[in-house]
Amino acid sequence: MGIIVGSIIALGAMGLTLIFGVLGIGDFAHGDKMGWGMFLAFFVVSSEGANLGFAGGRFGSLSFGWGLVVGLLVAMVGVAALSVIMERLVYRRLRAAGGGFFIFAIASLGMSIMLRAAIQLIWGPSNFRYTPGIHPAVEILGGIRVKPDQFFIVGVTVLAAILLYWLLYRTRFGKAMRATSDNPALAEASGIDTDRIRTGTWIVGGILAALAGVMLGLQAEVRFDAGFRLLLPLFAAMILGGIGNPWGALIGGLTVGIAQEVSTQWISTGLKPGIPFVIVIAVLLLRPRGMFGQSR
Amino acid sequence: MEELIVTLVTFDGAVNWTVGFLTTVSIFAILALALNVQWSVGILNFGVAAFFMVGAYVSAVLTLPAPEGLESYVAGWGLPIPVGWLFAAIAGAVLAILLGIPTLRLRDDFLAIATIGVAAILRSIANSVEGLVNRSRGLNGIDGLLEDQVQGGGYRWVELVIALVALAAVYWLVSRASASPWGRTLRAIRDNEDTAKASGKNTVRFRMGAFMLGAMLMGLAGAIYAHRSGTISPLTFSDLLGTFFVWTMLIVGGSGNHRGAVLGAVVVGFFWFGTPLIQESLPDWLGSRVFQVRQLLIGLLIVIFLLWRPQGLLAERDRVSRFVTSGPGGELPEGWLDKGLRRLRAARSR
Amino acid sequence: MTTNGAEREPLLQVESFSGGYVEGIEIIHDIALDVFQDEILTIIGPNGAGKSTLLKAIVGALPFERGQRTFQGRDVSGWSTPRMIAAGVGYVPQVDNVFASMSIRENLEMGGYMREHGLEDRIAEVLAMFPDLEFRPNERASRLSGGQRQMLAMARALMLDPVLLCLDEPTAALSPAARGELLARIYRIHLSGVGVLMVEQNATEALVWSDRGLVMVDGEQALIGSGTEVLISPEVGRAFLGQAEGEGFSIDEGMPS
Repeated sequence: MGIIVGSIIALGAMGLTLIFGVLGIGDFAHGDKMGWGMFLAFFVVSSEGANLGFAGGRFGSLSFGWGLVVGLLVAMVGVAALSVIMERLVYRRLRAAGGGFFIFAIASLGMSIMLRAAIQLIWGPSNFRYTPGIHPAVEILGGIRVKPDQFFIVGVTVLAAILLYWLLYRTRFGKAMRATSDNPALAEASGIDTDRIRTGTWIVGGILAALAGVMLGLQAEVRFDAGFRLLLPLFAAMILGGIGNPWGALIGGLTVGIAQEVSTQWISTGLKPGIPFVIVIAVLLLRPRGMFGQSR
Repeated sequence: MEELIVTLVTFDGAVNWTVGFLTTVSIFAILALALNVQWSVGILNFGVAAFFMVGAYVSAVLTLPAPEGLESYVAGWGLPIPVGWLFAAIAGAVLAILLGIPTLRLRDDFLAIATIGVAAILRSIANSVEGLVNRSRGLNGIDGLLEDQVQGGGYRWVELVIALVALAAVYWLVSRASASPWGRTLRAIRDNEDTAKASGKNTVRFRMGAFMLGAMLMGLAGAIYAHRSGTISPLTFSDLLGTFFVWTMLIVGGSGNHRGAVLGAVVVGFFWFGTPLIQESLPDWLGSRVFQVRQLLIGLLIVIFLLWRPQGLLAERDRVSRFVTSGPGGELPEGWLDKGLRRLRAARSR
Repeated sequence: MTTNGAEREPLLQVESFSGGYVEGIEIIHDIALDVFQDEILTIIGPNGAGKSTLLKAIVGALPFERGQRTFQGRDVSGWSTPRMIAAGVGYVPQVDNVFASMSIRENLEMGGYMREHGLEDRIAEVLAMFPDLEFRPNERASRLSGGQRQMLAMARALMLDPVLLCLDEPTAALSPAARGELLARIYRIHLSGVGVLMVEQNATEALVWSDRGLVMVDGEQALIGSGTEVLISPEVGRAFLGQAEGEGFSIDEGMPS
């Protein structure tokens, strides 16, 4: 259970940490971008989407079929586009006006409020599910019961992490992203088109946020503030892993997810959201640069 | 706080509405002033709701009588209301110290997430710990200051006077603080932390002081709110109204300027609390969605003002707003200005 | 190496050149200098004299500048750093001059980001110039010693085959032994046909390797002359470098070491 939630947190945190590293923006709208990904996919699999001919059918024992796959693609494209629009309309101008980390943070907070309000405006405050009905868990080794969907969630996370590794370490663009994250002034002086790198980073971050959002919708409910509620765990995972370090974020996400679930043995479920907070404070006190170091 | 809106629309008569509105806005203006004290030294507090909530709960449990029946909460000593206010402010300061120690010294960019986190945690603690503050049932029957002295329906006016006096006192206090040598040091820190550090000032202590002062005022605002509304629950202190709303007020009014913070509270407050008044007269497609649209606009206002009027409605006097003092976009390494100025000074002193 | 050939064309020329970080506050005033491909020109001067600022202004990394910059006969006034680099100027800032989290190889790839082709060949060529780097291309830059880092920074700047290399205090924070090695390395790079313009705090050592020296004080150009001239000039030592009289001067001023 912790691994599933941890995978979702990890997906979100990898995007968050990339954006923080490359752009120097603590993106408080990242959770709500997940929310948008979740709802864009829901739009495709819900009745409106069914009219387009995507819905219906299931893959084996998974709870979904082609509808969700198309929804996932739509969500990725949509959230990436949303992020790029925000960069062009807002962040780029603030940057040109000399805005720094704090200004970006407040702006992202404003956009977080807008994104969440827009979801409520379009889909209302109700909760939804991608596919109605009960999806039975199957037993795997040692009597642990797992839903097939949960294998899918972990699989998607692993695949995303591998693709991200390939991008950042094997492609020229990805290396330039790392260079910009490492030393923006030197990257620019080296002739790296940092504007394009920023846009590219928003796209990658948006895709990861959309993935995380759809996985969250698959695991739990589709609800307007589900992404926002995950904001603290996302930041905790990022801080734990060291800012700008996607592998740290991956491990940080899994750690936060597992810690949350394990904690319920000792504390009441209502206090579970406190775990990421405790992690943030502990990391700040013990290792201000994160447990796995910082890329810069 | 949503229930407040309902109260507002059921009042008949513009006078009553205005009295209620001004009372509420005064409380928010105190929050905005308190936030401004922190923001003006570069402390990014995204958890105003946490301090607001702590103040409200502390004052409530101290002044309420012992719990009866199904209710269960700590304290309940029936203390006088001013004592509740005092402890509300102290509680805010204590929370600031707890949060400030790990963040202000090491990574103040993490203060934002730590504060937004603590607001969520406090809500979930209030909601789930039995015997602390009556969980999600909330605290009810909190007395208003001087309520027992006033007969009939005139108490609304007393509430307004209390809120306005509190606002005036807070305004006086923060203005005095900014004008004092302490305030000037804080501005120096904001404008150039490195130089302030170099001149031997302990910047962490000064900033902690500003964080605590703001937190105390937020706690006080919480106490005033609790005694005014008579009932509080974890839901009252949402991020949207407790934190983001206050930020919008500050950004719209003009940060770094105390008058701006008050003006922002009035303008944004009027927009927010006035919306229900016109809901009836709006076309159906909009009227039914007016609350979501209103929330959307709260976010939009932040972004629009940051982009097109970063100094807010009231520009900071004599000093350029912190957003406008611009460095070249990303071309130079961090701290280039300091280095340049240091070189300049060194050259001059020769 | 001071070939005083009659009709040499300067690589880089600046005239009545001023600039600063903020509009209205000039840090360097009215500089005129030229750099030739067959020389090493070293800018020296006390702390805060504006040496690094001048170098930044020359490579287009300063927000405000006035006056003329010419590079290879072309007017490049107001050109940004990427444009200058594409035109053939290599620039090594004083600090943060490598991508610390990336490997040596990746640093070079980034240095050659603007290359259309021949990236691999150039990496091999550049690596061959720096034996310290050559045999461990996958080492992270953050694990290198100070001197090796400085070499990596130069190697990175060489990736685009510059004709002029601008170095900002390359030997700062290095041990005396490493300083000597680095300066010798710079000289060898210079011999391969690259003009060198560098700012140095360790003036004595640097001037030994330089063809000419330029002394800056208070943002102004105080003296320009051959390396030896500057080196032996006792007034320079006293007035500009704040040293006690004596034979030459060990200008390690400002260095904590």
